[in-house]
Amino acid sequence: MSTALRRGVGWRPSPLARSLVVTGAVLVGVVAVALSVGAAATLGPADVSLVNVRDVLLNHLGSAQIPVTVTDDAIVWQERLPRALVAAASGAGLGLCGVVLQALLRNPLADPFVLGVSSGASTGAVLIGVLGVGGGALGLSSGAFVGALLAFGLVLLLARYTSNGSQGIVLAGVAGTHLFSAVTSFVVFAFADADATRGVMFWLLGSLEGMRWPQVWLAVGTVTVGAVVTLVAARSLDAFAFGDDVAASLGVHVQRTRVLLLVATALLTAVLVSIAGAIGFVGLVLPHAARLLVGERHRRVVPVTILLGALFMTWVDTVSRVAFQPTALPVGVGTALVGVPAFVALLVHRRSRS
Amino acid sequence: MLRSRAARPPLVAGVVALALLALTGCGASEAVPQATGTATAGEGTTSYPLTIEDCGRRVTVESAPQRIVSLDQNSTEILLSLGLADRMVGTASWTDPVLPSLAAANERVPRLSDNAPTYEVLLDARPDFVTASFGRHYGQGGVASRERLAETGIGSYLSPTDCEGDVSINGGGKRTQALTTAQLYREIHDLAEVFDVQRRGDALVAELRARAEAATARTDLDGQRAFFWFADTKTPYVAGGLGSGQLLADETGLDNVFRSSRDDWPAVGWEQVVAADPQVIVLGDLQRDRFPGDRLDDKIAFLEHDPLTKDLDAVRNHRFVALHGAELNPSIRFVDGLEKIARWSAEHGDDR
Amino acid sequence: MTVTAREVVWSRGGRIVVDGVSLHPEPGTTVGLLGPNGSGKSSLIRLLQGAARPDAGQVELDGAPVTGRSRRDVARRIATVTQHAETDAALTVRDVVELGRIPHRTVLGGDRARDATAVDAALRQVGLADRADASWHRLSGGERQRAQIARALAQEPTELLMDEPTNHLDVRHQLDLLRLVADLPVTTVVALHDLNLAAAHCDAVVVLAAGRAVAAGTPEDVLTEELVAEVYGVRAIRVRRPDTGRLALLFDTL
Repeated sequence: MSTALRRGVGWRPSPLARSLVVTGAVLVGVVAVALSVGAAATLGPADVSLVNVRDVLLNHLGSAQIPVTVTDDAIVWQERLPRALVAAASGAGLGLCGVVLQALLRNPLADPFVLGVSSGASTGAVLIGVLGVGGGALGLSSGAFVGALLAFGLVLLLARYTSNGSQGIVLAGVAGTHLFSAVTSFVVFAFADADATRGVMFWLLGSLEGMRWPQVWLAVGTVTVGAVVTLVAARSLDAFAFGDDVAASLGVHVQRTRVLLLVATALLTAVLVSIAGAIGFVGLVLPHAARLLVGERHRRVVPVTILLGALFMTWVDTVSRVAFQPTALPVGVGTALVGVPAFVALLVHRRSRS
Repeated sequence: MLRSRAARPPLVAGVVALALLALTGCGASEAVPQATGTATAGEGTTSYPLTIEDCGRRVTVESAPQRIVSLDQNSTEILLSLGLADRMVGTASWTDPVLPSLAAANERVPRLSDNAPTYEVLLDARPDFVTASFGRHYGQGGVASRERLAETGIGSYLSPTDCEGDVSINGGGKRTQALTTAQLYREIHDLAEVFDVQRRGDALVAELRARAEAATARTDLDGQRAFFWFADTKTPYVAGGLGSGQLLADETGLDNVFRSSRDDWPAVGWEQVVAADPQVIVLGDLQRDRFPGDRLDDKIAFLEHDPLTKDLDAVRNHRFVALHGAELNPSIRFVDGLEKIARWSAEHGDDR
Repeated sequence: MTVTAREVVWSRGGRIVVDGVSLHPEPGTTVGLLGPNGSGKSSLIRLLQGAARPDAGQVELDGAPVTGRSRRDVARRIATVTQHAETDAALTVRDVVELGRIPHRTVLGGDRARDATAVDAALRQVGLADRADASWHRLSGGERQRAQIARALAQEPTELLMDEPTNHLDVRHQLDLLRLVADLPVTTVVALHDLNLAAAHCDAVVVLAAGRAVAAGTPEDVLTEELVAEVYGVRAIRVRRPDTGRLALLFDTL
């Protein structure tokens, strides 16, 4: 603390130098994510030599024609790589949603699922998977997406008719979450057999099994759009720190901005949940980790959270694939196992700081 | 301080990854192993390419598969009984210890997983054909869809005991017709044809039929009321009216008190059990021992102590028939199950 | 032209809180908004800020209705300091003051050098330059208030609206603040409950009672014993300060 105080009076890096450093750090972060994804392609329960991994990647990325076995190609290019990319995108996207919601709702415990999106997604998924609603026209993912949006819509409606502002939205979200969870539980216990129940559990905890390239494009594309929207709105997010009134006095269209960002967040979360289930802790913990590194300005917090989220999820998934083979461990278990001690450490650190 | 703290973790990752790149960069590409052509020969009775109908799909096999992975114990035991251990490269989803007669052969086959394996683990065994007894392996949240397996040239098969038309029961469908032994024998014939061991297949079916007939001939439990308890002490899973439990009941003359349920293994309440007043209780002894009531002893202890069940006639008189979990499933052990009921019937059938 | 209110009327929750009030501050002056609790001071400030639309009448900035302009444009002109600003975020004092630069920032970041200058100046003006990197949560109530004022100053406004900014401040800082505000070339409308502070530093005062403006003018003219008795229900004794010669009030019960 004393060093910082002295710094405040004396020398500080010029704003230009500071932004160059942050840009540099972001670039390094991007490279780190790319290399982590590459590392994930080399790691796994199957025995594929590094040379073969390199050859498969060269074949697909560099249009080389090196002969590799069909199986090696399938493992590296059709299984590990799409999975690592979806992991990175999910981590980035969920972290991003966490940042936005924590700022908008002025609640450091907000996470992407506080608006009922994930419980709505589970309800959608069980209605399709257990009750067979829609008769096969809608897949599980589509059902989850529709459920997620319906739940969010209901929560917004509820928030409109109850108290105003951030607190009202959080309360409405709690109500919505409980309502849809209850419906999910009811359907599962009344109609599902043991196997269907296990399938739903997987969904609830988040699973990156079976990720393929279409999911990669969907996840990466949506996260990219979300990131752009959030970066543009970054200064508005800063403005919300002291509440709606101060934000308005700083020139922010409070209602409009809040609704726009909530909808964008809900859409992004709905897409990610419908692809990979409800992966917990990422959206809650990673924004705090980013703030610990770069402070509170959202123009820095947002990109750093995205990068940290991508790195975190990629490595958690890689480790849980390798460590728990041959069974599949829901990635949500892994994020909790790592996320909980990390969160506790963050809380302790925050307390000692303030 | 801000600068170094923010930049340190990515720097480390970057260095590690660069090292990795350097490692891999220095290696000549591996040669792709060519198919050797010295395949284990079959009997020569199947003509390839072979196309069979399986669960509403047409499965085409170009030549006798040499690297078989079985995803379920039921299927595994059929394959081992057909003498295919040397062509099997992996097994999974074990619920009970293997049949003692097959233990030696099973030793030669690597076990990929005690439960369902991941897709990558499956691929690591480099299979060219995959068999399953339960359709959930091929569905969402399973190992891989049959289409995905086909993308890498891996053929797949699903037991007819899990199919009705083109729908997998375990994969989310519902039975409308009762399971029959014909489906079980059909599975053996199909697999024998695919793997070119038809004579062994015919012999296996003949043996099973003979044993089954011998067992049912000397058993007539005269419509005694029974329920088949698979697992769980809180909400017991019992045999419904269309599955393998009912099949056992029909073949031995028992009256399954839950025959009106259309699920294979519905969960019921103890009040319903007591209200039905069963005279015979068939208990599953599950070696997996994962939940309360899996083991036979736990089940008996529960029945004897629970206030609802302890006064049942069947409980006081110990009219229990113990079967292994696998014997309650549609597998070749079904016949063992028949034989066990037959033995019990011979010893206790007439006490009421 | 500065911010003005013309006959504004505003109801909240069925009750009229501002009843036909007009306000025409001279540019660059400091106007004190006086009146007991519940007289409509905070509501009037909200209307002047453009945070709410009056039911009747207009609030204008440069002759045009304030609600017609973009929020961002308004924020570059008008800065507001309210009471009770709270946050959970782990902000430093500098972070808080930097919030004031938001109306001036563009998507790409804006003029950082200008931002830094404005922030430093604001911190100096409120006397928090040496606490710039301290955590907001470690500040006393008075220091937090000063940080919020610095935030408003960092907006480089031409109009400054303040709602009872001297709450929680000890005497020295009350005086420093009002002297600062009075010396600034910006037009200031400041709601106060301390009549002596108003008398000492405001160029003009407007007195509200039950949502109506009951008097407007210089403190000398407005703060008569009759008015104080009628509006505040206390007895005021007018005296002259020996050092400045300006009006001061002594109080007693009626």
